[in-house]
Amino acid sequence: MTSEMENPLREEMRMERKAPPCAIVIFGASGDLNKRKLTPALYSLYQQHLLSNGFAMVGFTRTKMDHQTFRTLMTETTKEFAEGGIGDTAVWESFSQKLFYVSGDPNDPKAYQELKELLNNLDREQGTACNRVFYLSTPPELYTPIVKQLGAAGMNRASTPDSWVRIIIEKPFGYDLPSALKLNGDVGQIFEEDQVYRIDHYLGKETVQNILVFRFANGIFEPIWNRNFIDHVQITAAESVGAGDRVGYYEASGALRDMIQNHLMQVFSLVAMEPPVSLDANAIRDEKQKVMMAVYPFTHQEVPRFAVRGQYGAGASNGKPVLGFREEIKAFNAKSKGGRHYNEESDAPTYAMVRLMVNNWRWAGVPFFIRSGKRMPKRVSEVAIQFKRVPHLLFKQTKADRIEPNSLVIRIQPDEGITLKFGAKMPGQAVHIREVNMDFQYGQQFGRHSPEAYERLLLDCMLGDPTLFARRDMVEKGWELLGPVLDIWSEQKANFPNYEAGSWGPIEADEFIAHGAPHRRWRKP
Amino acid sequence: MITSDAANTEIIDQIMKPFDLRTIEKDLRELWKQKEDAAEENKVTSTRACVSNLLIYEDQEDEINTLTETIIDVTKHHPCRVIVMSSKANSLEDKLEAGVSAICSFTISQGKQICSEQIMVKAEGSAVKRLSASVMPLLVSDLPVNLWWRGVPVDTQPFSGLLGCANRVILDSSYSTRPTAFLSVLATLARQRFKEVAFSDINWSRLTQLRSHIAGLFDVPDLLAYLKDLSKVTIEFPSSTTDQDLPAPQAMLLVGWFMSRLNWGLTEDILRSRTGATILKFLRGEHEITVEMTPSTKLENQDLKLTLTMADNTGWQEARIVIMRNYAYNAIETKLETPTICWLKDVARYEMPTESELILSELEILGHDVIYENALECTAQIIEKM
Repeated sequence: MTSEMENPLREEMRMERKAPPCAIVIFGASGDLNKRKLTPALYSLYQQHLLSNGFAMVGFTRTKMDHQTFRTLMTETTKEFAEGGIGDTAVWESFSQKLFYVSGDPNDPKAYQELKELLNNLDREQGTACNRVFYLSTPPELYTPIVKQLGAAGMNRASTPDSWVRIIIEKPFGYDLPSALKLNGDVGQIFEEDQVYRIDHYLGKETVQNILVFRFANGIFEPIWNRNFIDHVQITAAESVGAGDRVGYYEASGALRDMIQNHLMQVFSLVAMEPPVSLDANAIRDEKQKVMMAVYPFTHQEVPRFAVRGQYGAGASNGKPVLGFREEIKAFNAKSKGGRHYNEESDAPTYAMVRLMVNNWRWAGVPFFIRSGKRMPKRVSEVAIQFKRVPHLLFKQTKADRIEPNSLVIRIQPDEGITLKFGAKMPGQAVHIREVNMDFQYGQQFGRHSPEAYERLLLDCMLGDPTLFARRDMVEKGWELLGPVLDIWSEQKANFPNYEAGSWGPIEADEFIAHGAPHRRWRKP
Repeated sequence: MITSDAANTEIIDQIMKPFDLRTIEKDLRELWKQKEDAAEENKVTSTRACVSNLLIYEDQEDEINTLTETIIDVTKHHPCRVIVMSSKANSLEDKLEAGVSAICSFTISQGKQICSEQIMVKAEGSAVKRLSASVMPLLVSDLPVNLWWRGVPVDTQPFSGLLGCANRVILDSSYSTRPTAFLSVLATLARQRFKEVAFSDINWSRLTQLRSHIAGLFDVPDLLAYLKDLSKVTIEFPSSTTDQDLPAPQAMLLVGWFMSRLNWGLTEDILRSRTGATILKFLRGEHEITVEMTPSTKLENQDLKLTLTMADNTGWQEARIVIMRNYAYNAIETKLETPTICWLKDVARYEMPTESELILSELEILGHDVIYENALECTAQIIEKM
């Protein structure tokens, strides 16, 4: 719900979008996410004058401490994690006066009464105007208890006609379809869907947002953005690091859950969706959901024809020898002694690849290959649109297989930008063709930093713009589509490790992409 | 000549030569060859980038050197072809000269060198009349043309000629000793040339943080409710701002902004007090608003002080907001009193924008800034009545 009365002085292209007054409550405020990302993002917004004067942040955790101790803790962590530290101490001092703290057990109703009282006081003293954002930055098993307690305390509904209450939920949004349905059901009993903001920080990245602009603000690409011109699409999210200290998390989730089900499915939907009727959040999300609905739902029996998994063995990274995933688990277990131990014969995929087929007029017959892996040669995320070869080879002096088809690459990170690859005549008497790149790099054309993804998304939530947040139906559809892969991979023993650390993934993935189409091969970005 | 400054910027200059298009193109080619060779030797990746044309006109030759730092800052964030023009109309010589240079800066994130090219064109005597026609072929085609005119706009060459090729003209009303005349001319130009050119006043950009702060106050619903009851606006500015103690251009632009955003109609009721204050009356429906623009000698470290007074329907409960822009402490101070909110003193950081930041903010705008143009139009209406 937004205020009926608009501020006539606010409408302005020069003025950055500024958050309305509100209090943001961070559950799990002593956790890594808050220390590394959320408080630095809020502070950065404050430094840029993008938070309202009527702003307050309330940390909520079990640890007992007072407001001042919490402020001191946040001072230390922000110094460490914010880009550029805290900068001007007077500005930090003024920001830190807007930080408050409530300690309590997330299951204890009394803690929520205390929180409620504090928030009511902040409305009066800080002018937070009864607007609330609740941010669940806790382990996922606490999501449901917190949501229920907020409901029981009556904090799930706005207390005045002009105010609003929103809740941000961090991924994972479930572990599979049944758990996602359960979580969404639990949240849906307390909050309306338009109050729920499922955050996927990938969507806050500038280049991901640019996909929409690139496609729909330019007249030249959309007419060829279809099966008549495009051979296939590759979406890659590669990391050079291994699981490291996160073996426990990775052992339980794997590459498919960690990257593909959420981040890369979102990117896929932006690449494949039809033009929305407007830039309204739901108009965009409707189109994204429509394309998800058009994805061919492969069965359990068909999984080998649609997905490949891998796990890295020992190899090299950055010129140094590195352990395989299972050896990392062994090393972790050895270090942890009496603590938690993980399966040293784990079949968790550190590499996953799926082929999505979109059954609609635009994309019929065009495969979307989506892959994500750890311990690959470099950290890179990109979308590559591979166009079809020319229908007739005119230049006989250049062998047909040496004329590469055009490709358009949207690099998400690092070196954000767009490259169009095409053939050009090499200077000389003969007609020899060579590939050249037409390059656009954000860093060259726009000499300023893109905002951090969390800054953008927190501001969007405060402004009530859910465009870059995942909607319930899309999350569930993602799990539904990948459900058979998760089932088969958990049931069938894998022959791991099947790729060397520092390589571009298992040989099976290379064979897979070329199957029936020998001209197709994975890009090595 | 290759020089480097501490901020990782490299400038490669070539000497001024008689103006000749072919020579300029050849010098540019040589410049890049020189740059490529140097890059190869030093193993540095350099990229020539250009997102727009930036024409800069400065009629005070001494000022040209002071521009260098601003141009470096601007090109660092907005790589473009910069054409710097200067003229000496009263010279007896007829001389037109040009020289090219490259400005290379390391990018903030990738450690690569991004280079912009600069062409300096100097005109003397009657050659001044040929200046605009001479620089037109130097524009990179299909890219926006921004003209930063560092002076007062006049209906003669080279301004009139350059106006014909620009998509945006950037001026600064603080340059003028007769700001009211300047703003009137600007409003007329903006009206007449609306279809072809967008106009910007970097003095308006200097107000952005303050305006954003004022707007932010009314984001709070409790205060927004009072905005309709705004009954008096007092704007104080240092009395030395203008010779005749006429309202400072920023004060007038602020009133123009209030008038356009809050739909105030200007009445004939205008007073000039002995103290130099200008008092205007506006109407919004039946509701009367008084605006007072006062030169003040009492402002300490403040260059603008606004007092917004809002009276509720009964006329006896007043809310007052006092906003002061304090340049000594880099702060915008706000005091606020309403029947429900007690005195509250808020200090927000105010960073006085540098000249390059102001220019960059203008270069980021594509097309018309309707809010500014409406405010300027209202300002011109006020000036007309004064």
